[in-house]
Amino acid sequence: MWGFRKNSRGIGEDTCRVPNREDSSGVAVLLSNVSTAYPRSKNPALINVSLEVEYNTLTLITGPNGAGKTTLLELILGFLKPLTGVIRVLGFKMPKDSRKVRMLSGYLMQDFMKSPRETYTVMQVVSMGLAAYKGPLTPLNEKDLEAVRWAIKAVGLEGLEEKPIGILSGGQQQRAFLARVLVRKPKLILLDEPFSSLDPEGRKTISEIIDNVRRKLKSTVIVVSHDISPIIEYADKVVEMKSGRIVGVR
Amino acid sequence: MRRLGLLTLCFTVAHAALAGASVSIIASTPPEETAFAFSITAALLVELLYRRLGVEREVISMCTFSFSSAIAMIAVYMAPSVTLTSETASLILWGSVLAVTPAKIVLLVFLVVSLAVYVLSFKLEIDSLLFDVKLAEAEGVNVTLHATILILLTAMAISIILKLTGGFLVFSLLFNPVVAVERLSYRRQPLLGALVGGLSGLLGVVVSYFFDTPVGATISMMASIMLILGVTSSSLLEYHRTRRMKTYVST
Repeated sequence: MWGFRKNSRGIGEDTCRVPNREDSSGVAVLLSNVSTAYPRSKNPALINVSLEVEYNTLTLITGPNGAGKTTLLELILGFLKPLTGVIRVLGFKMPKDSRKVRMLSGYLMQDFMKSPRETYTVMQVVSMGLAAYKGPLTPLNEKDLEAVRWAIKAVGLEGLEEKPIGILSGGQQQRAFLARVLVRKPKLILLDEPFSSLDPEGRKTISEIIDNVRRKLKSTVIVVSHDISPIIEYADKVVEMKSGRIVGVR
Repeated sequence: MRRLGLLTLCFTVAHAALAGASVSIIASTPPEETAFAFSITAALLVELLYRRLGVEREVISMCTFSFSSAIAMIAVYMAPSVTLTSETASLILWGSVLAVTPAKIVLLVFLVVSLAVYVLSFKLEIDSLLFDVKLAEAEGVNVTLHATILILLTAMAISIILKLTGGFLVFSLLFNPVVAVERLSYRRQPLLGALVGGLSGLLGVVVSYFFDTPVGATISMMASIMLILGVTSSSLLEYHRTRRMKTYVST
């Protein structure tokens, strides 16, 4: 079902889209005493956070609303600048090398819902995941399209390829965005509340897909979620956050 | 532009072009070139401050818009009355269909071809940006580059059509036709928008001829009427669609 069957073509056979660039530290994501704040905010969003995420592992970040979970992902992708501390992602210094890290990453955003008037089809939306890798006048080739079809199949949206994404349910849209992450064959996968719109069966399925993909692609996965129960069995590390601080790692 | 959150910036660029054209009246410089220089400077200034200061693009845009409008008014006020009543000044401020010269048509065709080449070359990246800017940025798409290219093309378009609609109303011809069809058809918006823009221009010229009104203002009025009609008809279509749905459900 996941497209990882023997002799299956497409993404399942490959490793990551970009060459492995592991630094000698063995740490994919390193945050050392990092504090940050949103513009015009009176309080810091993260306070002296230190975290190490090893390559090819699955890390869960959990905690209540306002704990700083999404802020952490935004720092990793360079959308926010640290006030203090050091951030290194995939061997790159952040936020200086943001674009390089983003090219190597796949990001599932928390606010993904699209308006019912959105007419881009599922196929188009998933294909857009490859946009940054394509140069001028370089259309998608058959291998790319095959990978797109594989990703759509992997998240269980087969048959909905030509449907406008706007008319899909929240759960189906979330699966489409996950397919967009998968088609990039990212070295680092960042998932922000990937289960928020899914039913229990969907949560279980998506958890299995995430685990399968990270093993096949040798990707490092960070999942931010209130509800970690569907995926905890695959996790290598669980980080608990509260009020902008890490309060527990197990 | 609307999807990229660059609408206010376009509005500012249009008024910077007006400021440039107004300054050209007193500085005796070529109006289109001065308008283009002002609009590009304004766009780049807004982008630079947005990136460097972290202030919202909209805030800087509105500040630049006010500043540009003020420059335009001061330039018009300072212009000698003889210059103000000249044909050039009249064209810049109020517009005229007579300003459409063969050279301008060639320039517009060049602009359309440039836009088509750009869109075809970067189709996937542009689609990605139009769909979700933040997601595209998170995936490594060069948002700054594409935003800058779009702003440059807009500044060129504004400078070229400035004398047609006049500096005060140039933005309406860029904005109104596109928004008029937005709710009717998302997918065919570029084509329908161009058609509505062309129709506004044609109707504007005809109405202006019969009622002896300024061409630029009349074209803008037609574009505004098209916008009202577009919004109203899409609301009516939605109303009927909902009614049909209710009838279907109840039976």
